[in-house]
Amino acid sequence: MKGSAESVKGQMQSPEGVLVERTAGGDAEALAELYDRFSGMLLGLAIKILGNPSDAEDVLQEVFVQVWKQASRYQRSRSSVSTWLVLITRSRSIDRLRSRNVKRRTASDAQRENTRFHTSPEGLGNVLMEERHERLAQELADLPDQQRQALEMAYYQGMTQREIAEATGTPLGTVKTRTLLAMRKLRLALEGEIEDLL
Amino acid sequence: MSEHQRQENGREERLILDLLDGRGDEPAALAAPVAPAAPAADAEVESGLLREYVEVLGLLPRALAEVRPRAEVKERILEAIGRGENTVHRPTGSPATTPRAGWSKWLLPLAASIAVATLAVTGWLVIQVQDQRVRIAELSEELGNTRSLTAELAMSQGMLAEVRSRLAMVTAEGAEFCALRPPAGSPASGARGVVVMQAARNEWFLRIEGLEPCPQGRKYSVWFATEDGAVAGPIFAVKAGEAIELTVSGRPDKINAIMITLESEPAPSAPSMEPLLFGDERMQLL
Repeated sequence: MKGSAESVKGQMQSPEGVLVERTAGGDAEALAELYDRFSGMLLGLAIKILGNPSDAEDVLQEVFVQVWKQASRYQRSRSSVSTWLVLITRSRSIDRLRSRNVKRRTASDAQRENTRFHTSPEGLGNVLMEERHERLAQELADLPDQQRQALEMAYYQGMTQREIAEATGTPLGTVKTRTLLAMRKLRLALEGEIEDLL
Repeated sequence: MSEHQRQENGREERLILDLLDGRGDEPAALAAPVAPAAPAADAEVESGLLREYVEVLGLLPRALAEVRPRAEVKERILEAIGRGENTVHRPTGSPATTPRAGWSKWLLPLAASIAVATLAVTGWLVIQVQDQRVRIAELSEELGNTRSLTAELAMSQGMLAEVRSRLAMVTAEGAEFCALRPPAGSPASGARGVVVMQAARNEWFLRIEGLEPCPQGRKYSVWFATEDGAVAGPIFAVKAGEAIELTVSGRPDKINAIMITLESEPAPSAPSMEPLLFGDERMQLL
């Protein structure tokens, strides 16, 4: 049974928040609009994690079915809508990566398979989104290699700090420090973007 | 670094690592109450810090290139939520051949219509094939009858031609007849025969009936008695109740008599026995 719109916690002010509220009320068109806005980014994330476009599409479908069923659980005070969707997608992708033993592919394999899909013209056509994409890519590129590597292994591969230490042959404390430094730098560098989302 | 700063750094580290290591739909740091043992002011700071790091995690995928899903992904999601399903089934097979949702409601009726039409056409074709088979059988029978009639006609024509030939021989000017009869003491007492000779065409015709079937290894032989001795004519076999008719070209000159004997094979150069049938009286009809 769908939750009512009133059960959504917090006051919905952003356009995405309104869409989540409508989705919680059983409005399929609102879910479709959320899909149109975020599916390109979420599928890119799932492919990055899984390295397999078919599995990534499955995850994308599961994410939006879950959003349809659990939109009422969204809390604006905890995250923006886009971050909520990103965290669900990341969690689902990592779960699938581990539980289904999805064969990890090399970056070149994933890139080759990505040719079956199309880069979203809507996304790139949106100046704001494109600027944000370039900004994020630049901030990540500006991180020292070891910090970026630690962060990406944790974020995209779901590895714990201990697993990263074992995989890279680096002391655990060093790995933690690199990860923390990377996150702090990004938080400071992305202060403006974060402010927009709060 | 003061103790307070060290505590803040420790909380920040814990927040970040909990966020990154978090499992489930929400990171552990999001699901847990914010620093329950901390003073109110610290809790507020930590809550704000947590939110900022959460948004950092939410922003990271924006560094990736967006990938537009195939159209059917959205359609399958909308179909699934319309059916109230918890999971979305990905159709098997090539994505290019996956039917669109709008078509799916037509697929079953369309398939049923095609099946009914196919059955109807198949039934009609079966009936047509059966009719054709019956017609082919009828035509085959007619063809067989026609062939039989044609053979009979050809045979009749052959017989008619032979009769005409013999009639022409019999009715020709100068035709001679010679009756063949069994001499006294001949074992072929029931046999009779006639020879028609046509001098101008150098042909002659022999008809005999009443001869016994030939024993194994022996055949009847025709002999012409001339002033120079007996000249061998054709040999022939006889089956039970069968009359013999022979039309032969060529014969010796100055024939005095005609004889029939039963000879062993190969035929000897002269009769080896007394004649079974004999004729020496030649006469002309006209």
